[in-house]
Amino acid sequence: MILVDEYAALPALVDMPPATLADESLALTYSRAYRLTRALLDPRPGRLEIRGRFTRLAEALTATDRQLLHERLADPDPAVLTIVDPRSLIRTAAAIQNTYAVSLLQAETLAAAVTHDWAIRFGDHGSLSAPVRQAADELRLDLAVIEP
Amino acid sequence: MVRVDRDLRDWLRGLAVQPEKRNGERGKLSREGAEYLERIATDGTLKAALEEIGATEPDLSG
Repeated sequence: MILVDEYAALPALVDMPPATLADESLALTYSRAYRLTRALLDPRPGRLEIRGRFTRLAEALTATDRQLLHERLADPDPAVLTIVDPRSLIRTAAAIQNTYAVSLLQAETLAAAVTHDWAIRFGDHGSLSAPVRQAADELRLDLAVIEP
Repeated sequence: MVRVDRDLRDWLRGLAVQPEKRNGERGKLSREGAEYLERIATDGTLKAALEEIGATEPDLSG
């Protein structure tokens, strides 16, 4: 299992995984799945009609594609992508966040890699902050950024 | 007295994805839809959106 960020997970969800991960089973943490879902949430009438950057991403899709995307985000094919159950990671993530200057999202990613002994492959260099690099080095995690 | 917004409530309830109600085989996105999502994952569009979320909510940054 390879732990990925949203940039690698989204293409995989629509059957277009990055070439270097094409034959791998991928995993995405709960907070990253949540953040990705927020970024792709479609608008609706009424006071939830948010006209921000987030809604515009999904507006380019047909209604059918939007529905299929959210079904896949909530319940992906396990052969393609697993959403990691956060419950068993809470103590580890808390300890990591108490040790390194990382966000909850980053701590959960590191906790999943430590706990399950999974490699991490980010699809964007922006996912690899200096504190995450430091934590990965000190925890001897296999972490790399892949090229699209 | 608080007025109940039934449209909002119904919409929020409808957003929940219930796998057990899925009818057998998983649907496949159109080629255009899949290519669009693959493109925004790599061309900086998704990155800008995620960074915007992280800018206001530090625990969702990174």
